Formats: sequence, C-alpha cells, structure tokens
Amino acid sequence: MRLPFHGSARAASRRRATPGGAKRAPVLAALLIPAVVFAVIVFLLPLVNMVYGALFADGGTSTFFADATDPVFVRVLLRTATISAIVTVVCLVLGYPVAYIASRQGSVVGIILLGLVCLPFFTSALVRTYAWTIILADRGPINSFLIGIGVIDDPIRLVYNDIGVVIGMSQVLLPMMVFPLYNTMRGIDRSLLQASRSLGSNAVQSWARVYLPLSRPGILAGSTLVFISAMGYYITPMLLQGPSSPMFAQRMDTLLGQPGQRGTVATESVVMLLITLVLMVLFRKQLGLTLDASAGARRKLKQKAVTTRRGDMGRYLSDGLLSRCGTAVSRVLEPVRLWIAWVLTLTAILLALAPFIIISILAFSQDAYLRFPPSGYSTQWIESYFSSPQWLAATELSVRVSILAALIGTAIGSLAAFAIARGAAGRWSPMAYVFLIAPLVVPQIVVAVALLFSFVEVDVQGTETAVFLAYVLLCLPYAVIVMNTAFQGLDRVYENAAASLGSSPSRVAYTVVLPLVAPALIASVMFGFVMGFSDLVFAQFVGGPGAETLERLMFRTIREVVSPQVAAVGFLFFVAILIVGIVAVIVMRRRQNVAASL
Amino acid sequence: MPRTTKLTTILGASAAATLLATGCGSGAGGDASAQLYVADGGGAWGEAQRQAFFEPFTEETGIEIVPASQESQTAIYAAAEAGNPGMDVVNIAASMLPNWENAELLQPVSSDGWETVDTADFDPFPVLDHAVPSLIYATQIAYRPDTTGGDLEDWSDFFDTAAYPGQRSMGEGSVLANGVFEIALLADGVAPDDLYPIDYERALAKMDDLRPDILTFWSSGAESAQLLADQQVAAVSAWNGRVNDLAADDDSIAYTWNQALLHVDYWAVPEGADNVEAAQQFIEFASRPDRQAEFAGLITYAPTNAAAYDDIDEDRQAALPTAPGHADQVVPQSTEYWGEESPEGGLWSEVAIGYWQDWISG
Repeated sequence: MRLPFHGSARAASRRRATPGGAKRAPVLAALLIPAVVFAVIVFLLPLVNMVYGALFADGGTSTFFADATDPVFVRVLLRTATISAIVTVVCLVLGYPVAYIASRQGSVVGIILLGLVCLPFFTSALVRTYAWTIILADRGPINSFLIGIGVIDDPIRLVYNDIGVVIGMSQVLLPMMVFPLYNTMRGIDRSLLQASRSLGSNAVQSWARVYLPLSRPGILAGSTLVFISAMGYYITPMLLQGPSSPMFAQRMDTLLGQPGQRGTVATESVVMLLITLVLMVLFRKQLGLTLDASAGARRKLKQKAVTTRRGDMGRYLSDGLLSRCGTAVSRVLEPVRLWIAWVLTLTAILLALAPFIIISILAFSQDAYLRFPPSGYSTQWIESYFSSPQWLAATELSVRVSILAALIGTAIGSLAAFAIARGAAGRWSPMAYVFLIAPLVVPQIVVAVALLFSFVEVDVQGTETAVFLAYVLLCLPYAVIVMNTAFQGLDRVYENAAASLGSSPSRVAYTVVLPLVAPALIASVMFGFVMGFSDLVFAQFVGGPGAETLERLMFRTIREVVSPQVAAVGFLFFVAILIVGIVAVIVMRRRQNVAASL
Repeated sequence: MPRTTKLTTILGASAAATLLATGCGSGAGGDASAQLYVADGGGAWGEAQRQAFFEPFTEETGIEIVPASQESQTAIYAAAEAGNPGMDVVNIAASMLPNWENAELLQPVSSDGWETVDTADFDPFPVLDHAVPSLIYATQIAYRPDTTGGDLEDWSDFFDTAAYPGQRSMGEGSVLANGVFEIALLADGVAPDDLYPIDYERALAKMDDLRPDILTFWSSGAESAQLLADQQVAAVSAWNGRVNDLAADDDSIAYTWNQALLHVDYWAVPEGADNVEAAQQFIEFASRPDRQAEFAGLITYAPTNAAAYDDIDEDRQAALPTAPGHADQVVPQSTEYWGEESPEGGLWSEVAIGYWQDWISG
C-alpha cells in the first residue's frame, strides 16, 4: 500500500540564505541519521544481501542467468505485466474522471468523492478480495441481479478468471491513480480552458487539447505507481484467479515453500527489482523522485506544456480533415461529456464500496457457513470475535506493533524531514529524501523477500520484532513525505522571531515548530498505523506463528474454515478505520498544505 | 554460509542496536524454549489436533503448545534451509519427506527411547529414522448429483464433463499430495498398479482436456469445501475429512471412496528447532493409541498406530479411509517414488513440480 508523493526536496542552496542556517547545518544534518541508518539496515542491506546472494552464491552468475531466463518465469513475468497493464488502464479510465470532478467541485464534495474512492486504501486488501469472491460468483448479487432483470439467462463468469483478478486489483489500486491525478489537476489553471473555449473549441476539444496534456504528469505518476504495485500483487490474484498461471508474488510464495528454491526466489526477485528500478529512473520526475522538483521547476514545466500545445494547435488547424473528424467526435461527445464523467465516477465509487456493503451484510449472518444473502441475521459472529482469545490476541498484537511502528517511523521520519526541508545536509538532502521514500516504489513483495532472507540469518524471522521493523519501514516514507511538506509550508518568520527573542534552538523546536506541525504529525502516525494494521504481505513473509497479526489470522482463517467470521472481523475494523480516517481528514483539513501532500 | 558472513554481522549488530534503541525486543530469540511450536492443520483438523493432542499434552507436561498453521507458513522450507525454521514439530506429506531428508533438514526421531508407544504397532506405514507417520487421509471425489445428473464413480467420470456436466475444481498441483498427476492418469485409464513412474506428458495431456471445465485450482481445504457448498462447482477433489463434514450438513452432496488417493503425513523435528526435547516428547505423545483413537473420533482421518483401532468403535472405523470396506477401493499414493532420483537429475518430486509449473503457466 503506498501513496504518491509530491512533497518536494528543495535545492539546499536557496534555503541556506536564512541567518543561522549555515551555522546550524551540521547539527541539523545529524537529524537525518536515525532514519537513514534505519533505512540502510532494514531496506538497503537486505536488498544488497539478496542481490549478492542471487549473483554470487551457489551457482553464481551462470545460475543467475539460467534462472532469470527460465521460460516458466518469463511467462509468469509476462502474465504479471499484462494483467498489471490492464489494471493500470482500468484505474486510469475510472480514476481520471473522479480526480477531475473532485478537483473541480467545491472542496467538500471533492473531499467526499476522494474519500469514497480512496477508502479501500486504508482497509484490508484481504477482506475486500474475500468480498469479491462472493459479489462476483455465479450465484452472487451481480449475476442474480442481471438474471433477475432479464438481461442474461445464464450467469456470466466474473470470478476465477482474469476479469475477477482485474476487478479486484483495480479496486485496491484505484486510489494510487486518483491521488497523483488529483494533485496535478488541482494545479491546472482552469482559465486556460476558458481561453481555449473563447477561441472556438467546444468543451471536449478544449479538454482533449489543453487539459489532457496538462494532466500528463499526474497520468504518468499514477500509471507508474499502479503498474509497479500491481506487478508485486499477492493476495488478490491468488484468491480470484482461475486455472491459470500464477502472478509474480504468488510464484514467490509457492517457491519459498518448496525445497532448494531460495536461489531461484532471490534471482527472480532481483529481476523484479531491476524492472522496478528501470521504471523508477524513467519516471523519476513524475514519481517525485527527482533531486530538484522545486515549485519553480514545476512552473517551468507547465509553461513549456502550454507553449508546446500552442504549436500543436497550429498543426491541428492546418490539418482540415483531422479537424473535421475531431469536431464531429467532439460534437457527439459534447452534450454527454459530464454524463460520461459522472457515470465513470459512480462506477469507481461503486467499485470502491461494493466489498464493504457485502462485508457489512455478511458480518451479521446467522449462518454457520458463507451464504449470500444470509438466511437470517444475528450478531453471533461479532460476539464470537469478542469472546475469542485468539482473535483478541491477534488484534492486540497488530495494534501494538502498528502503533509502535507508526510512532517510531514518524519520529525518525520527522527528524529527517526537518533536516531535508531546511536543506541541512547540502546537496545530500535531496538524495536522502529520494532514498527515504524509495521503499514506497519498490514492490512490497521484493522487500518482503529480501527481509525474509536477512531476518532468517539474524534469527529475528517470524518474530514480533521482524514485523515491527518491517512496519517502521512501511511508515517511514509516508512520514518523510507528509512531514517534509509540512515543514516546507512552515513560515520561518515564527522561528526566527522566537530565536531573536532569545529562545534556544531546542526551545524553538518544542514551543514553535512542534505545535505548528502537530496536525501533520498526527496524520503521519495515523497513516503509518493504518498501513501496518492492514498489511498482509510483510505479516505473511516475515511474521510467523509466534507473531500472528490480525491480517495473518484472517488469511489463515479464510484458508481453513468456511464461515462469516472473517467478514465480521473485517466489518469491525472497517468501522474502526473509517473513524480514524474521518478524524485524520478533519485534522488534515486544518492544514491545507498537508492535505495537499496527500 | 560464507557468502553472508560480513553482511550478516553488520545486519545483526545493527538490528540489535535498533531494537535496543526502540525498546521492542520481544520475540522468539531468548524465551522460545518455554513454548512448543507445533504444526496445526487448521479448521476441523486443527480442532481435532487441539483436543486430542495439544491440550492433553500441555496438561500432562506443562509445556505450552503454540499451534502453528503450516498451511499459511509462506516460508517454512526456506526458513528451515536457513537453519531457522521457527517450528519445533512440522507435519510433512509423504511426497515431500524425501526432500527434507535429502537436504538433511530433519533431526533423528528418538523412537528407540519411547516408553508409551510400541513402534511395531505402526501399520502399514512404519516409523522412519527422521519422521513418524501422523495421520492417514484420502483425496476423494465429492459432487452434487443434482448438477452432474448422475453418480460419479471414478476419476474418469470426474473428467467426463459431457456425461456429468458442471464445473470442476482440484487441489493445486504443486502440492503433490493433491495428487493431480495420479488423478489424471487414473482418469485416463491407467491401472492403479501402473501409476508409477508417472507419465507426465500423458497426465498433463489429460489435464489439458479438463482445463476448460476447471473453475480454479483450490489452494486450501476451506476453498475446496466452499466451492462445492456454494454450487460454484459440480464436483471437486477434496480431503475426506472436509468431505465428511460437508456431506453431514448438506444432503445434496455425495462422495465416493472409489479410487480415492490414500496419503500419509509425518511428524518431524526440523534442524534448528528451538525446543527439541519437548518436540520429541510431543511426537511420542501424539503416537499413543488412545490419543490417535480420540483424534480419529473427532475427524475422519485414520490412525497410523494400528493399536488405536482397539479404542475406535466399529461405526467410526467404517468411516475412516482405512476401513475394510474402503481398502480395496482406495489407491495409495506412493511413499517411495517421489524420493527416487530421476534420470534428469533431482528427485521425482522436484521434476513433478517443474512439470506442473510449466503447465500451469502455459
């Protein structure tokens, strides 16, 4: 689960102009140490260890190339890439109108829209996937409805095939498309559209010729994020697919359970890592991974886009045929343009919410096994959760580890973000920024495999400690992004005023800076908590029987028994997360600059 | 493992420092010996284990058991290979046992010193140096006669979707105990005695025929039961314990013992286990006739210690895979073949998984 990032690492030199900044720089730079040391140990070293193992252990490079080009692996990779590409397109088609309408409407409607579509982001992918198996079944609500209204006679196969996989994955990944699109669109000057229309274009033409190109950075950022994440997807394809090839993460899971496959797993993970790195480098600007993505640079890009468009307009006018075709299409689309946008938006919302509706109904089933709709209603499954020591213990562990990880991650992330925002380490600041948010862009499955290998060697595999360390890593990039944005938005007048009145730097930090960024701190902790709490991949790969998180127990339960129990647990935590989410939105609304970073 | 020395040292030292700094040091490292991590089959099987083995063992010895679901243990084998399995007692299917043995990942079982169990009572699967038979079960056909329009009598009926319409589901083939290759060959008319060595091309050609009618390959016991209970499939290959539960609740589900594949699983102690002594103690405990009899009374999986039959009433015996009525119908999955070297190099079990992965990704 990851978020796009548009916090920017500003060039240090411009920042140093403030009095006292240069003098304090070495002290400030030391604030980077905890986060960087942590990320080196729990992110970089395990990856290096895995790459080293894949390249130089056992058979060495010859085995590496043999494994990396194994036809079965290549087929798995191709299938993974194909599905990921389809998911990316679906997310773009559904996410674009959502972001468009959300960025256009008044802030309340916009936030509600975003909230509805992005809700899934904060809840268990496992529970949602489990709901899809019910919704999409031959006798599920969708097929029953279609048969009921007479559209079809026989059920359409929607699950246990690629349709199911694409629907399930798109639902989970949609927010990662919507966030960066929304961000970009908020920055687009709508007067350009009016200008274009005053020059004779209709709304669709202006949209296609002016708006679309301007939203390109968001499209690229969102698509890259969705694609990279989809490549490492684990649970959704596993539960929804038919008798077809596994996707990458599933193959890792299978291989790790088989003899003598550690080398293969390492090799294939390294290949996936390389693919990710290539994509990261290609799309570094859009992903916010650049060393100088300052506001000025962004402005320049925007101007460049406009000028380029002007050239294109000329070409468009000179090409009469194209013009006529375009106008014809535009004329057809013109009256229905908002209608289309709203239909797609509502589809996106339905896609986002459907699993929760099903889960909420199933949670109150009176049946002993899964049946939809239930034959009657009761609270037995809710009650059995509260009376089960196993479920309560797993909940306690999940809450404890996730909160602790969120606090530690936010603490070290904030220190680093402060140093970065102040350009404390000179040209190293932006590099530290890129390094600290990199764990977001590497598929979680690859990190999980790397951590597994390293944790096994240092004897922490399968313990709470292992899960804790992984969750701090999960939280750290978000903390750095959110806090960096918050610190950048901080007017240094207050600090300077306090300092000039004789306050020591630590006093300034405590009495001035801290209160000003408190909402961002709270947002970061909540975020980190939710990330850890709803994680399954790390829990599954580095956790163990002695560290059974709630997600892990839910996964095990789904595989072991057929009952609405998991729906009941999913429902309870959906409600809990919803409350946390609403609180977070309220807190963040108080500080627009933080909200803007999301 | 020379390759990791340097990195490991750095990593270990730094990890320790991080932990000290953050004050989060709970986990298996130091105090693990107080608890015994034992493989838990999950569902009704896990429940039976709890009642018949885990709880009485804790009562008798005071040793706390942590039931560790092996089904969701993503990395059990990889962790064991690294010498840190995180489990004290594992449950291994006969088809995978040779891999563990070959890789020297299992500790010898101290059956010589057993006082409460006579190893001679184990029949038909004897106690091995590194493993003790834990239970006997079968993979059988369960189906919905309403949908298939008739009774499925063997695997060739299961594959004959023209005569017996409806979707099918089988266990994922990379788990050899799911018996995909044997099932396909039986369906193709191979006699039970001629199954081994497996003709992979032939088995997978038969699977090609059925593939369009396979809804999905199930990856967990619960899934196999859910697919049939939900009427998503008309017939499924499933473990007899699951089938027994399903059919007891639902009159519209039927099953057959004919050509059911008979399997045996083993208890073993992996190298690197934290609590070896208690693990050995547990395996002896779980091999006692009275414990195995209680287990077989809770779920229809048969005892491996034949002395247990004295404590199982006749009705119950008739429901087990080893019942005299079933004995001439079931087809035992080989316990030797999978551990033999293939001419292409590697054990047959590895070759088989390779064939499966190639087929499923194609």
